[in-house]
Amino acid sequence: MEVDRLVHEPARLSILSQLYVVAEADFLFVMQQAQLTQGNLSSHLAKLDEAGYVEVQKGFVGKRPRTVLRITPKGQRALEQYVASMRQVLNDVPVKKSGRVRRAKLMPARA
Amino acid sequence: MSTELASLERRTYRTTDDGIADILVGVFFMAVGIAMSFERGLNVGIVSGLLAAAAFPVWRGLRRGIAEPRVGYVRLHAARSRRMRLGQCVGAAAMAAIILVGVFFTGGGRQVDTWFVGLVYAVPLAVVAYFADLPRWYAYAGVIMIERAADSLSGGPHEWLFWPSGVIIAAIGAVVLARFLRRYPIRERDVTERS
Repeated sequence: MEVDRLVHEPARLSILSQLYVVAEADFLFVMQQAQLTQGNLSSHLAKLDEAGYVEVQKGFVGKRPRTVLRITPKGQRALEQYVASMRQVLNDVPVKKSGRVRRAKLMPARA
Repeated sequence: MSTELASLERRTYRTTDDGIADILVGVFFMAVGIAMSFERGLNVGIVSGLLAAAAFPVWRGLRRGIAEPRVGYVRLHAARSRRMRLGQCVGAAAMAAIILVGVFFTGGGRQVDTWFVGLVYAVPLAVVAYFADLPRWYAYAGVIMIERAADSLSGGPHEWLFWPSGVIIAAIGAVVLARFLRRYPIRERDVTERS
């Protein structure tokens, strides 16, 4: 099963999820919610922006600069596909009622 | 929206709960109590209307000044915004309906029962609690009705009785705000934003 590596990275997944559940948010809000540092968030946003998953809009509110972030329709589709594929992957993992994974199915057969 | 994302949306929405609206509602009831104490000087309806009209811009200003520098700016999901707007409409309609019923059954509203006065404020609070997903606002509606019951049982009307509920609501709002301020201290803004 194909998993979008760009979305799969935990920090980027967190950023995309946060932006998916709001109409728009500024840099500070996403930084707080995703618990990332400024530098981390900036570098992940650059990658997501390059892929067309988020839209970064720099502007001013009065004299203060504000960077507003939005998820694009392409980013929404990517996240929805990722959630669906991960759900499929997890559903395919055979788990006993006790919660113990059946080793025989997961471990490769010994020669 | 999947279940996981829906719960994330709820959690994200909860971060905007700063207690400022609670403080304003508490101040509103204290002001109504003061207005009611003046038998002829102040009209409670006019005071309530003026305060309600001023509440939104004041709330917006306080949010911009206190909450946004801490948690940042966020515009809620379209579905959440629609639900909030619907809540405001239903709350206002409920308040208008109760006032009309009160006026109709009391021949012009001169002898309005203290219970009706409680309902006028408690029902919109409960409606806001439901639509804005703020469970403690149900308690505020309950406090108003308990207060009105106490007023009725003690041979009211005692106008000053709006004071305790106002103080209780504002105090709870202050606690929520204090927690919010502790949880979200002001952080340096993004370096790219400052450049």
